[in-house]
Amino acid sequence: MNKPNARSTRAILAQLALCFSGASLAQAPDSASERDFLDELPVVLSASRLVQPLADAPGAVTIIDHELIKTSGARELADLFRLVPGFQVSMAYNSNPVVAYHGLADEYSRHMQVLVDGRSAYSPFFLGSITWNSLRLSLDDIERIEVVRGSNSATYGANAFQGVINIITRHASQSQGAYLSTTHGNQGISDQVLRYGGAMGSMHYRITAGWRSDSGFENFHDSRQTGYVAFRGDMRLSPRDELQLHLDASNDSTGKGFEGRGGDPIRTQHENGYTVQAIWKRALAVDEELSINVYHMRDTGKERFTASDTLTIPPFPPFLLTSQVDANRETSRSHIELQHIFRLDPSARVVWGLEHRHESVTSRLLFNTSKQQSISLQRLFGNLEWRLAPKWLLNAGAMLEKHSFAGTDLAPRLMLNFQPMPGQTLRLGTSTAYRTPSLAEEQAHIAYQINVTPPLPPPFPSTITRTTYLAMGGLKPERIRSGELSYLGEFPKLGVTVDARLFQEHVTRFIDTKRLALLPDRPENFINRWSALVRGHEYQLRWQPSRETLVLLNYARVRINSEDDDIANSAPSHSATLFISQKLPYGLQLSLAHHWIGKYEWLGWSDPLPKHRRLDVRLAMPFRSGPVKGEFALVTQNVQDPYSEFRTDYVFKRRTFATLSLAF
Amino acid sequence: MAWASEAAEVAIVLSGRGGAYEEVANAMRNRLDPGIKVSLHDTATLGTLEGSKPDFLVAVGARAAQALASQPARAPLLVTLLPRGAFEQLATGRKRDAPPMSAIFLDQPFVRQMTLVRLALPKAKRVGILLEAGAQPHLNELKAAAMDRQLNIQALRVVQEQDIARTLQQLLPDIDLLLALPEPVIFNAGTIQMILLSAYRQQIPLVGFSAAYTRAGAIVSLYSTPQQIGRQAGDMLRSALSSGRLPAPQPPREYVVSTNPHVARSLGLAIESEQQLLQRLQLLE
Repeated sequence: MNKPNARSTRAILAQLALCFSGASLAQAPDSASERDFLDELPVVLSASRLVQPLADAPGAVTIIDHELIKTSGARELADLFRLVPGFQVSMAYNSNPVVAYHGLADEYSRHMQVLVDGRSAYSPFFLGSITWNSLRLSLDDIERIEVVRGSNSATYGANAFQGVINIITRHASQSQGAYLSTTHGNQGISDQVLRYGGAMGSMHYRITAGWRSDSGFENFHDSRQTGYVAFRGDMRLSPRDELQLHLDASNDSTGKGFEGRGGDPIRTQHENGYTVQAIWKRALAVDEELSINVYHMRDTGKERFTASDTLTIPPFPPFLLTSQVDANRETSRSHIELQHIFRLDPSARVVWGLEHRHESVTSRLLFNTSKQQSISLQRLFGNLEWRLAPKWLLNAGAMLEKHSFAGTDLAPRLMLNFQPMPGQTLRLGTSTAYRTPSLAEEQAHIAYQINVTPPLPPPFPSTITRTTYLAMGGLKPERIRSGELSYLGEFPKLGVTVDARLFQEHVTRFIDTKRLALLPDRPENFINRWSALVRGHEYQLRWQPSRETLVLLNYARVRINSEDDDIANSAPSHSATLFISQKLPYGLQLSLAHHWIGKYEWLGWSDPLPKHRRLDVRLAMPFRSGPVKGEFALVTQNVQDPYSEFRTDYVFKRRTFATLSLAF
Repeated sequence: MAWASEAAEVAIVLSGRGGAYEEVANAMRNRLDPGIKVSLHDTATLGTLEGSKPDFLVAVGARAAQALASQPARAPLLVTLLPRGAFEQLATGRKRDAPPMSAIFLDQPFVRQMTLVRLALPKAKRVGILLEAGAQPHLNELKAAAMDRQLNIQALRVVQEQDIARTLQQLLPDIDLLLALPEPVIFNAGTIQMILLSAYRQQIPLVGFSAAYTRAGAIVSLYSTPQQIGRQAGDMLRSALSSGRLPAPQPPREYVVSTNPHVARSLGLAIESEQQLLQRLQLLE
C-alpha cells in the first residue's frame, strides 16, 4: 500500500519541479529539449493587458501611443491632450497645467479621472484637481494613454465624470538598459531624465530619476522645479502570477504670488510626496483574471507667508494689516481594489470589482483647524460585455458608490455597438455619472487672523478675524446624464480610422461658490448651483498611409447652454487640430501640430481668451554610435504669434527647446 | 509476426516519471499487442535494464535518448518526444556499427508550419525569426518551405543573449508575424514576456509551438500532444516488430492547432476556429 503513495508523491514533486523550472528565469539551457515544447510559460497577454479593439470599446477612445508621445513634441504630459478632440489645455495659476473636456473647468479642473497604472492622480486637497506637475512620470516611460471621451463611472469610478485619462506605463522588461536625456530651451527650460532598467532574479525593474524646471510665463513669479524618482518592478511569481511594484517620490518647488500684491505676495511653495503601490495579477484562464491593486500615497505642501494690506481711514495715517498664513498641508490616500475579469460564456465577458478608499487632508488654512479631515468610500462596479449577435455588442455596466458624506449613488451605463460589416461600427449609448464633492467643498472654513498696526483705538480689537470661505456642507454630488451616437470607420487598406461622435451631456447640481450675504464677512459657500446642457459633435481622423507618415485631423463643435454665462462660455465652440508626422531621408523625422481654438473663457480666475492659433514643430535626427542609440530633437512650440493662456496676461510666446537622448 | 509469437520485448526508458513521459508510454502501450512484453524504466533506474534483452529500446525525452545512445548498444533504438536538433546531435555522435536508431521529433515540419501561417494569417507575407548564434542546418529548408507557400523568411541572428531585445526591435518593423522556434537561449520562460510585449506593441502576432505559447499570448500554435506522439510511436513499433526494421525518423503525424481568439481580436485580426484551421491544414497535407 505504501508504494503507490510514494510514487504519487514523487510524481507531484516532479511536476512541481517542472513548474518551477518553467517559471524561473534566466536559466535557459543551451540546447533544445522536449521541455521547450512541454513547459508552462507565463501568461503575458492576460485579459487586462490586451487592448480592447476600438470597434468593441464602449464609447469613443483616443489612443496616444508611445510613438505619438515621442513625435508630438510634448514636453509635459498635459501638452499631449491638445491632440484629443474636444480637449482644452492651458497653463493656469502658478504654472499648474489644466486639462478639460467640453469646458466647465477652472484652474482646478476636476471633472476627469486621471489614472496612472491604476492609481487615481486626483489630489484630495482643495477642490480635488489633478496636480499634473507632481506626477512622477517621464514621458518616455509611458506605454500608451487611453483617453475615454465621455463619462464612464461604471468602469473608472466617480471622477470619470466627463472623461477618463488612463495612463499605462511600460512594463519594466520593455525599458531595459540605460537611458538619459537632457532638454534645454528658453523660458528657463531644463529637463533631465536618467533611467536604468535591469533584471534581478525573476524581476525586471527600472528606476527613472528626473528633474524638470522652467521659469513659467514672462513677468510672473511662477517658475517650477520638480525632482522625482520612480521605480517599477515586474515580478513573475509563477506562470500565472505576476506582481507589479511601484515606488515613487518627488520634491517640487513652485513660485507663487504677484509683485505688488500684499494679499498674494511672492513666495515659494514646497511640495513633496511618495506613492507605494503593488498590483498582483493572477491569470486564471486565457480570458479570466483576478487582480488586487493596493496603493498608498502621501503628499505634503509647505507654504507659510505673511499677507499684508493697508487700510486707510481718514484722518488717521494708513493702518498696516498683516496676517500669518499657514498653508501647510498633508494629504493621503489609501486604496485597495479587487477586480475579476471572466467569461460567462463565449459571447459574454464580465468585469467586476470592489474598492475601498480612504482619504485625509490636514490643512489649517482650509479647515481652520489642525485636525485631520477624512472621507472614505466603497465602490462596487461591474460591466457586462455581451455579444448579442455577431453584429451586435452590448456593454451594460454600473457602479454603486457609498461615500462617507455624499451618500450612496448608482451610476449606470449602457452602450450598444452595431457592426454591420467589418470595420464599420455604430455606437449608441447613455450613461449617468456623479462627481462627489471634495472635502473642501463640503467643509472649507478659511479664516484669516489679521493684525492691525498701529492698533486701532478702543473699542476696536487689535486683531480681526476675516472669514473668506465657510462651507455649510450638505452638498449633493454633481450629476451628468449623457447620451451619444457615434460612428467608427476603420479602413485598414487606406490606413484610415475615422471617429465621429454626436453628444449631449446634461450636467446638474454643478457646484460653485455663492456668498453668504447675511454673515459679517460675506464668506463664500459651496452650493449645488448650476446646470448646463453641453451639446455638440466631434471628429477624429487618423490616416497612416505608410510607416513613414501619420496624419491626425480633429475637430470639435461644442455648445453649452446654462443659466450662468460663464459656464456657457467655458468651452470654445470650434476647435481643430492638424497633426502631421513624416519620416524624411537620413532618418530625420518632422512633425507639425497646428491648433485652431475659438474664443472661450475658463471658469474661476480666467479672462476671456480670443480665438487663437498655435503651431508646434519638431525635427528629430536619430543617430547610432556603436551600442549607443541616440536622438537629437529640436522643438518649437507656438512658432507664430504669441497668444494668451488662461489669462490675458499669461502670454505664451514662442518656446524652443532641444533634447538629446541616448540609450545603451 | 514471428517476433510477436516469441513474446517480443520492448523496453521504454522515460526521461522522468509522471506527466508527459508517462502519457507517451501509456499511449504507446495501448497501440501494442497485449502479448508484447513492455518494461518501463527511467533514467534514474537505468540499472534495471541490465541483463534484459529487449528487441527494441524506446527513449522518451532527450535525457533518456542521450542515456541510451551513449550506452553500449543492445537493440535498435527509437527515440521520441525530443526536438529534431537533439536527435541529429545524437545521430552524429553515434558509432557507425551501432544498431539502427530512429526517431519521432516534436518539431512540426516546416511546410506544415508555413501552410498553417497561410491559413491562419492569410495577409501575412513576411515571417520573422530570431536565430541563435552558430550553425543553422535547417534554415534553408525553412526558407524553401516558406517560398513554397509564398512567404518570405526574415531572419536575424542574436549574437549574444543580452541582444535579444535589441535584435527583436530591429526585426519587428520588417515582418508581419514572428515565428517562435525551439531555441531555448532565445525563447524561454524568462524572455517570452519581453518578446510577446514587444511584438504586441507593434501589432505583430506570434506563432508558437506549444499550448503554453497560446496561453502566453501567441495568436496560434501548432504542436503535437504526448498522446499523439505515443500513438505514433506505438504504430512505428508495431511495424518494426513485424518487419524487424525501424522506419526512418519522422515528424509528428498527428497534431493540434490552438488559437487565442482574444489576442487575435485585440490585434484586429480575424482568425478561424481551431477546428476549421486543423481541418483545412489536414486537407492541404
